[in-house]
Amino acid sequence: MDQAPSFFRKLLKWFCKPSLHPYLEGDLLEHFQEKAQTHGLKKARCRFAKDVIKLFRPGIIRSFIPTQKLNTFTMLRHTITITARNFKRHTSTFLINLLGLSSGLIAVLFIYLWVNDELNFDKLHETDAQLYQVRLNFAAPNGVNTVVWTPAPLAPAVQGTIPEIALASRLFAGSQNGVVSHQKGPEIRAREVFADRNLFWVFSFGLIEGNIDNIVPDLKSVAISDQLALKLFNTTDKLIGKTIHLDKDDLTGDYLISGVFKAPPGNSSLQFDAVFSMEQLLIKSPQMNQWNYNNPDTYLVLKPGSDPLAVNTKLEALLKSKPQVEISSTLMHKFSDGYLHGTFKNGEVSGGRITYVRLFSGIALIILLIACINFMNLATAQAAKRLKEVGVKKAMGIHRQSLVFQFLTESVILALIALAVALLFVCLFLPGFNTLVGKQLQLTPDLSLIGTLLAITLTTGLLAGSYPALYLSGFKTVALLKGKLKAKTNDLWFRKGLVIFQFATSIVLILSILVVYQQIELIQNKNLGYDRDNVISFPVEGKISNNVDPFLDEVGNLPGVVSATGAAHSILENGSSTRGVNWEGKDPEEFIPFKYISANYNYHSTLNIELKAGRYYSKEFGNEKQSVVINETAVKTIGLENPIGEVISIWGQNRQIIGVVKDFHLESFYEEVKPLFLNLSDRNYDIMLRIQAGAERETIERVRDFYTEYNNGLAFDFKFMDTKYQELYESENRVSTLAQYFAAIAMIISCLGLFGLATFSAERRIKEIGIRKALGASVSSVIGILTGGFAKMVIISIVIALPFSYWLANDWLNGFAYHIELKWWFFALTGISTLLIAMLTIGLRTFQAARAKPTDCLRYE
Amino acid sequence: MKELQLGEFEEIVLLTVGILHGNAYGVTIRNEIENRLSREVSVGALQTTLRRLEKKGFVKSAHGEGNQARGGRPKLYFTITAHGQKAISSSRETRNALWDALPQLIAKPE
Repeated sequence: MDQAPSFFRKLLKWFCKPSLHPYLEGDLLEHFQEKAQTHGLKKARCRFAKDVIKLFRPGIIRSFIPTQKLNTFTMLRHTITITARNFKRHTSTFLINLLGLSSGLIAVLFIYLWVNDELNFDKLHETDAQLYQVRLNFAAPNGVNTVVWTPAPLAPAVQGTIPEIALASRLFAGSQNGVVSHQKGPEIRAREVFADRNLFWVFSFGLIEGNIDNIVPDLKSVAISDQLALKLFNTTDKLIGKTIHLDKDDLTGDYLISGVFKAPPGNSSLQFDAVFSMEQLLIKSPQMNQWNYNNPDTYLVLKPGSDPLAVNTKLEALLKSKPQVEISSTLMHKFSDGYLHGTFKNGEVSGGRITYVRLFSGIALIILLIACINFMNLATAQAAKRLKEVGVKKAMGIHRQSLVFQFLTESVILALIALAVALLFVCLFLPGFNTLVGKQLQLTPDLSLIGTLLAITLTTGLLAGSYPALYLSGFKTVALLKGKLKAKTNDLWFRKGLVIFQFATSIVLILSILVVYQQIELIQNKNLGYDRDNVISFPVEGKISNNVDPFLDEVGNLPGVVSATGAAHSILENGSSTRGVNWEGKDPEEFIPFKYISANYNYHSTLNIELKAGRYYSKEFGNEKQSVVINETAVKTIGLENPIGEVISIWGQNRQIIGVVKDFHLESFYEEVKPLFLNLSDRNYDIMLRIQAGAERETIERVRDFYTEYNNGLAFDFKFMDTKYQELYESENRVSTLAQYFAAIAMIISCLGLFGLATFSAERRIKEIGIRKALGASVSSVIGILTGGFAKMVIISIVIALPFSYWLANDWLNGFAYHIELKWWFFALTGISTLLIAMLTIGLRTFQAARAKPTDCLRYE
Repeated sequence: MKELQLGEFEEIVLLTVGILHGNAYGVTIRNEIENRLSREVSVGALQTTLRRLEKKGFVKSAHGEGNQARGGRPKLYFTITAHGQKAISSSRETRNALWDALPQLIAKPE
């Protein structure tokens, strides 16, 4: 008997379909024997090998997948059916799970929309990658001031002299209180800017009509936004060459429309309705066109590939070569970074809104994590009810990977349902959310959003399903069917750890919110030294501009108006600062800046600023040019015993102190009170009226009628001072409100998790409860036994979370000049309320378990 | 007619199974083809063709005995089915019809 090559026999056996193998091998062997006799052993072996190799073809080769997956689709359908049945059978668990996941997803979705919008702020310009704004650093007594105001001659000077700069453009916004009209038509407010001709090369707002190379070709040109065009002409077509009339100080006159552009969208920091020629502004205010007069913004577009640092060095050298310029350095700041990284310290970027973006991204991650943990806990707890199913499947020979697949599919399906629910809610509550954050966010189904959503959902589903999937499939079949599961201590600790983490995070969130809320309350209700209730304010516009005093007299006489005044500096802003205050005995080298507010008569009575001594400016005393009113801090700074009648020098002019007012805070509570004087002036930008309390409505109507008539139909646009004041704290307010919602969501999810775990524990100990009750245990003692463990976990998480949140809160509060003290009761309140909420949640579930009849508990099986 | 169509090699294999009447299994079919048509037949091509024919219902297989030369492995005998016979007859008729048409075409130019 000759031997066929054994390697090839083995090879055949390895790849051949088992059903064909015996016949094929038989045929080959028989053939081999024949061949060996007729052609010799060598040839026969050769032929055998060749035949085996030629058998390696489809139809002969077996499937290499361990189990033949003829039923992939069927299995998937089976899994989906089982999932649906499970959801139906354990409706409460399903709902809890769905609620937890979808509230997590809702929070994440909202935060994603917000963060995405923040990140895309000011990024709409085609030049974005190369677009820089010039900022100047000035040495000041308390560090470095970084400003955006630059000398007007800078942009023309750099164009051509610094080769890396492709475009240089200036933009001056100023007070943006222009009023325009067309042929005696209604007067309309237009936020005007003055710009260079290449404005729309630098910023891509979109030009509808006009020459992009030269948007404002001469001094009397104006480009208007489509929105303004609609208001003025009811159309945006064929407007070039038409005239509009601008009413604004010395720039008043007729202008020829040279272009129409799309109004800047909400995510642009530059907002304007009309563009006038920069040259026109510089002709009207020639002092602006000097190197020591900083006013317009300067924007630079660099050529691709050039180094902004090198440009910055050249820019600095250029500016320092001018003797009038006193800057310490320049800073080329990417324009689109200005929004998120807009805070400067020592001439360097130190942060800005990016803090909030990071904060909320962090919150989103934490909430998602809590929701996932919740899901894991609930699914694991629910597993106890599904041991039999898994056991039977394992006994029938299911592969572990199929089980894992089944559980992962289940959790992904749930995650997808949760996503659908979350999307529905987000659509419903998006308008509300928009008012909350002051944005116009939209849920537009673009590719990146869909991708992100699916990624988040699938990750959540897989992450959340992974633990139960691995946990359930890992048990021994016999143990599963017997129902005797010894939970490994590891598993228990894992689950407890998850709950502790959840609660610790929720506690940190709750405490932070408590602290933020208290701080904001403190600031907003703090007496700033003046009374901002019942005061309305509106800008000086239109005809009033040249008739402030007569207007004030007339409006002040309207019934219901208690007092009327005007000011050039808003008390809600930081005012102006000057070094021009001198007095006898002052060290001439010492640099003491004084704040000043240019205000009109009746300023103190309108804002209820208390007089400490003397009097305020009054018309009864005729010319008051030689008088001055100062505040208490100024008195202390100068060192006067009896200030009234003393003479100090202001801007080189001797003035007699006629009154001292009590200290009041400028801008906000963040600012400490500085020495200040009130300067009598009728160059006012804002008018303020104190209105009789209780008669607000009628009085405002009266003022409105008077104003509209006085100003040729210009709409009366006023604000209450206290509203304006609250707007100063907008970002804190928004952060606080948002954080409250998110903390509530985190807490809800955590409680759901605890509820699930309580359920798990009650299920597992059902027989124990039955026996205890049969032996005479009372409901309360059973509740005690069941709750004890959980109470321990919550207490552990409180112990972990409180020191951490103390540190966090302290860190945040130190950023404020005036801040609340962290009191012990913040922590006590947070801890106790968390414990209470947790106990209530567990109590609900355990009470139900403890009330069960012992027979029901023990009858099972 | 389509279900009766046969490929060239299929036809040869089917005819050989018919010829070998009752003794058609892997080795004999192969030898028969190799001897009659003097062309080399690979086991792979033969086996897949046989499976295909079986799937189409032209042949059926039956488990047979083993012997020492085969290492004790059983033979798998193939017999032609009625359907298979129909297929070869149909194939032959098609060819004949074509052949019948051929002389006329050649004859015409003469």
